[in-house]
Amino acid sequence: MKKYDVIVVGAGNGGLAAAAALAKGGKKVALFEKNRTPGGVATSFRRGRFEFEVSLHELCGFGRDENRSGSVRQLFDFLGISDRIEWAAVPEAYRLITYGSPDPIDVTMPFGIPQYIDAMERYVPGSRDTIKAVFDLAAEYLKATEELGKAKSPADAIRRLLRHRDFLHTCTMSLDDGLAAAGLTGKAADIFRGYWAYLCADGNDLTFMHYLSMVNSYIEMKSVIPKSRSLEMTLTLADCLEENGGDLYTGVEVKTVLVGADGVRGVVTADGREYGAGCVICDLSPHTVYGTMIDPRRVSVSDTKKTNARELGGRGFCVFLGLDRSSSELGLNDYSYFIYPDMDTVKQVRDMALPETNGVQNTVCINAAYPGASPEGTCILTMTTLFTSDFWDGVSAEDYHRIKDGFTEKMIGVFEKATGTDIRGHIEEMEIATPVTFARYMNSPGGSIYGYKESNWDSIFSHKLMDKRYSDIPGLEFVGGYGMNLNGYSSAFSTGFGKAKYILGRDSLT
Amino acid sequence: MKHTAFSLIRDVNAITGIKKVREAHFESASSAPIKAPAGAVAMGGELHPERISLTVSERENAPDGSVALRLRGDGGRLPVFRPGQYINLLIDGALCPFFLSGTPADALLGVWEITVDPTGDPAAFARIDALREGDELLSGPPVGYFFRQPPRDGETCAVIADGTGLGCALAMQKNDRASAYLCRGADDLPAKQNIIADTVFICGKKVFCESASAAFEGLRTRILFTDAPGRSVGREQFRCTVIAGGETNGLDCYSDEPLINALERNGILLFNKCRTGDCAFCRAKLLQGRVTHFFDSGDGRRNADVKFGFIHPCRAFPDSDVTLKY
Ligand SMILES: Cc1cc2nc3c(=O)[nH]c(=O)nc-3n(C[C@H](O)[C@H](O)[C@H](O)COP(=O)(O)OP(=O)(O)OC[C@H]3O[C@@H](n4cnc5c(N)ncnc54)[C@H](O)[C@@H]3O)c2cc1C
Ligand code: FES
Repeated sequence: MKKYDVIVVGAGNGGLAAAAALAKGGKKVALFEKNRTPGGVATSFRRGRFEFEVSLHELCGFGRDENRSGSVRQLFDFLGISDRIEWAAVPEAYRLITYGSPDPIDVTMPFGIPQYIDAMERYVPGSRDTIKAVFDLAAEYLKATEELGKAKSPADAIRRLLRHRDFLHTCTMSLDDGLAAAGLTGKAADIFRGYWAYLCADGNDLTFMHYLSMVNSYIEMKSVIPKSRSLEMTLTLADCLEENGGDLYTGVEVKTVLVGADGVRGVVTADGREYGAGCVICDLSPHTVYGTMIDPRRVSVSDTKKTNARELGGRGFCVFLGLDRSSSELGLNDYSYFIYPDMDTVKQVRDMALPETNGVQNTVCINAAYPGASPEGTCILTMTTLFTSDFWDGVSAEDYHRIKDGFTEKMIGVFEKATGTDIRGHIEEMEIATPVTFARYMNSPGGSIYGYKESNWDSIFSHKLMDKRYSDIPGLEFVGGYGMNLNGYSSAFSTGFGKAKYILGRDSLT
Repeated sequence: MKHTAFSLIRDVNAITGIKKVREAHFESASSAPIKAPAGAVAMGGELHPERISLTVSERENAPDGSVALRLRGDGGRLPVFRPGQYINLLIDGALCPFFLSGTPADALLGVWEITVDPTGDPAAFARIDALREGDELLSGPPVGYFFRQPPRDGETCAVIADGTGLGCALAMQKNDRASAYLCRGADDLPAKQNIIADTVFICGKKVFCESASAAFEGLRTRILFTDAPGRSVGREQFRCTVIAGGETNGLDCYSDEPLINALERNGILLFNKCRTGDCAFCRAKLLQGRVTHFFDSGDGRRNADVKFGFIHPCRAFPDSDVTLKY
């Protein structure tokens, strides 16, 4: 039996980050990926003349310049790969369009905090001071979380936070309560809430702290994408793992995580081989790992309850379109389109349960950031939405294609209506990914692409406050979209990097 | 924001409040064994299984010489497919593509159908013609992207095929109400003015497709070549070293056939799906040596795969000794 210090199951962003950082830190690591290509949803595929990005709209936490960057650049710098990837700058923060309300919104918000504030003032005269105060609060959040990180005990944490009263006051609030406390209301609040679908929970369930930190890092650091799609990051990380002596097994599925009385012992793969390790990091949902890969008798009552208490996040649905006109010919000058019936997030999340009522989409035209993304005279549109129920778990094989095609027609229609562009006459290539596709590709329950659903009691803050680890089984760890930092590239990377640092025992590592 | 001593107490309490709510959620949760929601994962597996065992349950010889086989799966239903997709059947140690010519409804009853025409590829026809009722076969899942997508292709379609594309034409005729034209050659094409369709699907050997697409210039067409391009002259022999799952194997390969064929001839049935260079499932890293890819058009690889030296062995022909890592 081959033995490793650490085995990582799943080469999504979380697994890759953990494995690469551990190998760099000198551990003997194996990374098992059931698919032929690592990356999980951080991948791409080709149809005809087009290469479609599967997931990445924008990368948070890398930043455009070294002096204003975040966790992703820290990881890539640690691995020495920041310069190996060719980056393209995302031109603007977002265009927000509501198409179903009596008072429709159509605004384009820029990157850069001063620019964002100016634009808000233009769209909503008189909003300057409040929106500025919201970004000031975000800056205070950064300082406060740094302080929290240094705290030696809960009492020490509260003592440190006393210096950050606004933080203390709002850190437990929901997004909607937090905005109200900050005095941001009406149309300005609606515009500010534009990113909500990225987290797929409504204004009552989203935590103000999480939302505000995310918006702040997008607006302040500005987003980038790798030119050769997220697969470029994936393969760079995979190379880095192998360069540092790690073993990458692709096309090899882990069937069982072996657990003895003293904790994790290793894994068994689909071809029946055993690999030993005292630490197994799973880039999968605890539902999948506890529910299908570990002897149930080894799972504690507390882990069982904690897992059963959680609800799945949004299930993904994407339409990928290769168009036979350039983006400028089609009048698609923006990169990221948030398109909602209206800004009643509670209603939207409820309506996202079913195809008939789901009217939400986030559509990206990659050529607006990187004109070379497809051949001259063409462009690519990727439409993404999420489902908030287990509707797709119940669709039968008889109905599957009909429902999938029908909903695709609807999404294209919504985009055409919201932006006034003709898409249907220009589709050269298309592909559709449903929750069934994501479930199969990532082995993710229900096709959830967003980990567990965020709520006030189950947020990054409550994790940080209360959980040291996700599991009572010694040596079993979780990273990725189901990890403690919730979903997203930067979150998945940072859980992986964080876990690696924890294992390497060098927490102060930079 | 204005803060008072009183609000401080409230704010600190709010933090402990979250902790309490969280604990209460955990406490009231079920302690029944964890079950991952399985519906979507299971359906994904049902639509895209790895390998399927089939038995020839019926064979039909049509007056025009074509042969139809109905293939029954051993476990209830078979994956539904899109009319125009094909399966790869393992016959005599080699995987060969055949269009599914039946209906998705039959698949749900556990039956797939394939139909081959004597004017199609002779070797493919002979392989199917040799099969009898009761014979057993292994198949891959339905693959391919040559099927009607209404938002892209509109409501009506026509399909024009030579003998190699008969199965595809039949499937589209049955399922998409396509007007289907089976042509025995390029001089057998229907007149352009007779074709009333939003999109014309042209399926057959490259020479056939090229003359059909010239004949239908101005119509909206989608084209699929059934013959793989490649090198046909000057066979040279090379050595191929394959590293997979921690094991290393050596075998002979030839400049006039895709690497995947050499692997399969040596019993290494590694990864393959479309065998047309499009799906990236067969991708492997070329650690040493040189290859030439023959795609139907352009480079079918993803940019990052090109950058990092990955090749598609189903469409890569060796130009020297090579070392591949899976
Ligand atoms: C359409 C879409 C758009 C998105 N847009 C953005 C965005 O713009 N910005 C952003 O920051 N985030 C975005 N996200 C979210 C982000 O992509 C994910 O949160 C993140 O990539 C999740 O990473 P992960 O580590 O959880 O891995 P996953 O991608 O879930 O990968 C898990 C891996 O484990 C493998 N695996 C599963 N079971 C096994 C097994 N038994 N043995 C071996 N391997 C196994 C799977 O094959 C897979 O490769 C988007 C996601 C999607 C789907
Ligand atoms: S098998 Fe699909 S690309 Fe080779």
